[in-house]
Amino acid sequence: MSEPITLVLGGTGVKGIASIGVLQSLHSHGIKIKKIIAAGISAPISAQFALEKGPDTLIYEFTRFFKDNYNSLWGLEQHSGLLQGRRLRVGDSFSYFLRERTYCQANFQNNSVLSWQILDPQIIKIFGENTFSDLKIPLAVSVIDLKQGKNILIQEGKLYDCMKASMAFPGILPPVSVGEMELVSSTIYCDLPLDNITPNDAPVLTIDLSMPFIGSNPRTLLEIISIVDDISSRAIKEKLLANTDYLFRLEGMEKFRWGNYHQIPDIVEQALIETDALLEKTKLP
Amino acid sequence: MKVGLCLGGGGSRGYAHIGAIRALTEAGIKIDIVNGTSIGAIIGGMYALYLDVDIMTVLVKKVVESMRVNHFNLFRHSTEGPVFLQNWLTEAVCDVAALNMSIQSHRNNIKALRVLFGEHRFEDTKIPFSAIATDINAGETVIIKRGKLIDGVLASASIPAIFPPVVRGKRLLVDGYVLANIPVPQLRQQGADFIISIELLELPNIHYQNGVDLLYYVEYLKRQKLEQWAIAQSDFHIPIDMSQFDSSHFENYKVAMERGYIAVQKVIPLLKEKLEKAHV
Repeated sequence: MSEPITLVLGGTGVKGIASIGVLQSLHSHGIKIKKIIAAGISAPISAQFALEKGPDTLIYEFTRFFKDNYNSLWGLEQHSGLLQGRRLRVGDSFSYFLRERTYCQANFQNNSVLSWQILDPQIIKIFGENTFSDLKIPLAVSVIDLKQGKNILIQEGKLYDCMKASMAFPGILPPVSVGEMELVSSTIYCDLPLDNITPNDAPVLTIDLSMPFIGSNPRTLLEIISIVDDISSRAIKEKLLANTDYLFRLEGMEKFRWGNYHQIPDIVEQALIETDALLEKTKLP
Repeated sequence: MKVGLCLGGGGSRGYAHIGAIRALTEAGIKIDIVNGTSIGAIIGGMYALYLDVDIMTVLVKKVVESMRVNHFNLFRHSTEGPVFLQNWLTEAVCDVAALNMSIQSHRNNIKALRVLFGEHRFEDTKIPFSAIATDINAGETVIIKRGKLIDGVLASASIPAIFPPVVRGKRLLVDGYVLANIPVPQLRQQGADFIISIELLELPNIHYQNGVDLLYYVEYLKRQKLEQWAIAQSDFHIPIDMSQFDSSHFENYKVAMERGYIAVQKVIPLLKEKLEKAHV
């Protein structure tokens, strides 16, 4: 392996934490990375990796964060799973109804169901006054600028603002203002940041954390909206995948959901094993 | 060589398609095959069935003036109206959203479509026609070209969340806009050699007031992206500026028709030139 690659990392919600395993595997195989393009939670992970933080520390910190804030997270884990494995108990149905209703109400009255209050202290603690120029590997973070109405890459400035923006999934967390820009996560648009790849980035290795299709007999209006949203994001992704030179589809990741924060170590382990296996099989440049 | 007409979706803005078809027929441009999404399917289906713009205009007038066809898209207009009404409606919609599959039923739509299509079938149309819908069980676009016109068109215009999905065998169908608001590749697949596509331009609302507006705007950006790819496969694309029109209010059909007519009339010389070059 001689030529350095551009690494594209994405993934919706907590599943993006799998990027820890991917980066760990690439590092142990001695693969040189000239740039990381990241979206969603993969952005703060890539930034910390580029600040030379070890995988064990990252897993510990993420697990602890979710454990400490379990009560403030609006049942994210259950919500993400209800479309796939609903139980029919009356209690579950009622709790599902309340959760869906809260989501809807919060988005009519405010900009999202969660606020930055929970995440802010954690992000400040990690990134402080760090900027993109402190990173050992160049990083480009994919976000949507609502003012321009397009998907852009941020590669300079304070990491704190940008990391918040990369995680600001519309409906869940509020948009982030940075200068003239009004930013949200681009994972709602496409879970992989493939929109702004240029010929200079080649060779590009993209890691796709397969998401199971959430369709099949929805019961509520919100489920229909989620499915429709998922269908259009998949269509955009399939088209944009033409921009990549190498694609690693981590198919074993299908079993994890976007809100599975109780399984962070398993998610990372699965990604590590699959990336290792794909690196053995694939001949990179 | 077959000339195909591809009509994009856009709610009541779609009456512009009638004006556009009038301008095309007056210029002597013969359409051999037509498809459409949502309102594009309604207008396209009518054209394929009657091949007469005057009949189409009379039927549309009858529907708009005698029936309730406006749909109330609370998701887009949640912040309009008096405050007490807004709050009450928001609470009601939150209940509906968590319990039901849609805000409105198809009752008025079916009545209106019955006036436009009667009991006619896709097989009865004078030129081939297909309606485009999205199957949310399979996550794919569906080309409907068999069965009753009213059923196919209803599925194609079934805006998710506003109207319930239409069941067709194992499929659960909603508005085709999800993947193919301007269904050019689907028309090519059906044998059109030269495709004229018509887009109803809308003005996105970037001044969001809540999370719902924000989600709607992001959905608009995604639709735009998918439309750009489809339009690139068209041979002649006509965007009609309908940004001043609200997609859920159908009263302004005359102005919309006029808009469509003028927009297409302007580009007729260029279109004829392109058709000649393509040996049509």
